[in-house]
Amino acid sequence: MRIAKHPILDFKKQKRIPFYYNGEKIFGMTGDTIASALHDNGIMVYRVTDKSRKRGFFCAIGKCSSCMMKVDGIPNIKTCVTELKAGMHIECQKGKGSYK
Amino acid sequence: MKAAADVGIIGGGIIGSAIGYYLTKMGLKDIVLFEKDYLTSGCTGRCGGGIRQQWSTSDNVKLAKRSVELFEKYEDELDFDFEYIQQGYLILAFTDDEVRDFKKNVAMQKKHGLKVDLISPRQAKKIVPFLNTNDVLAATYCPTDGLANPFLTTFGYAERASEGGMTILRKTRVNSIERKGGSYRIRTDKGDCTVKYIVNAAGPWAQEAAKMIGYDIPVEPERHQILVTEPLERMVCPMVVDFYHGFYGSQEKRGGFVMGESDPSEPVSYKTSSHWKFVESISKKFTYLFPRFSNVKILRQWAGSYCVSPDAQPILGPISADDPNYFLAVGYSGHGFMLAPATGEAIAEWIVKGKPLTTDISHLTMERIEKGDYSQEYNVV
Repeated sequence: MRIAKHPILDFKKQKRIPFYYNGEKIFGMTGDTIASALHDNGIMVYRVTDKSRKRGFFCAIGKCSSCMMKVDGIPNIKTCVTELKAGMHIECQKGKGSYK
Repeated sequence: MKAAADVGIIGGGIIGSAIGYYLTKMGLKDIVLFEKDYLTSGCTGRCGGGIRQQWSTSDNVKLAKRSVELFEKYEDELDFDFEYIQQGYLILAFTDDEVRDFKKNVAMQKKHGLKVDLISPRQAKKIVPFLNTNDVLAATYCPTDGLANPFLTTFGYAERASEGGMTILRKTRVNSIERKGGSYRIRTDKGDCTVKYIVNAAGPWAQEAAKMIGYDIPVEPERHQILVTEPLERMVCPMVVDFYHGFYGSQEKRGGFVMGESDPSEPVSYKTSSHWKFVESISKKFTYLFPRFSNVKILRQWAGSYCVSPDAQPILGPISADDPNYFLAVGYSGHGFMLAPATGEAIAEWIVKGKPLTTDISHLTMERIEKGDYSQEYNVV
């Protein structure tokens, strides 16, 4: 879901960029955060806590730790404030995260 | 406030609480513990929580070994989860001198019955697969060393001691002590209490508590900084100690890496502020030893005071022959938490039974300092 028309802001058409979610190739747009690109693809669960509770988009300003995911092998990345780059490998994080 | 008691303990950290616990366990009920702020508010609450038996002096090895025997039983005995894990200590040698010293230490530690080995860098890498062993010449490893939560351990002691009759006075500062016949009158900001025995377990403030009856004891406060990273999934990771670069670090039970360093330029002070230079310096050491974790994020940093004695061993027992009822349990030099069980037991035995029975601490009294007859503990970060 994206806002196409806004009363006071202009959204220029952006380039589509490919990235991977749990190994599957999907697309976001230049200027997206990782979280916004996932949201646009209908992906709402970003991590599962060690008590098996699902977590997704929440504060969207890098404060709440809800959207932390594994990005290119590094766990606990706040995806709501991290810019999407082409070819990134994003994984749903299980538990506290690891470097394995 | 109680007007009189048998024993007055100054200091509500791990040492004061341990002594209080053992006193009540041995049947003494009339005990008052004076804490100027809250339990663990001094250096106990700032401690990394490591429990190590690999020391360079016999006395420290004996105390540490006895302490581990006791730690192993505490979960049942204190009926308290204090997050105790035995995941070992791995100590790295980077120079030939260190290898020589480590060989000597291991031989001595083995004589005391400690399960410890001098191992090759390859064996060290097997124990900690993500460790950079490129410059490591050898290492020593003891699997029964470990880690616990200093807050919870103190609270465990304090709860059981309270049930046993000990009165804990929080937010009560001892201002002065007067001799009164054979006893002492402890004057606090909340009132006075006359006691037969005093235990000085004031940690970094031990010197001030000794000055109150006119003694100048050779202990000094020294700031040590420490930090914790974000939690990660638990791995098998012993505490890694590196005396050469001055580093210790381990993953605690909740998943964060806790690490600290020694800074030889640190002056004597009560300062417990944090500094960015520490973050810079320890980050270099951590990422050098654990390159895989170079992206791990720091959660917070803090600092606490070591109570440093001339030989980096605790000073235990009566302050002098003239004041045989004023006991010291001070000068732990950064390893008070891990020695608390054995020294708590020893001081309590000394008070209740007239002398320490379980562990021989006769070389750790004030006498050694006065005579200059002591051996230096070198294995300190």
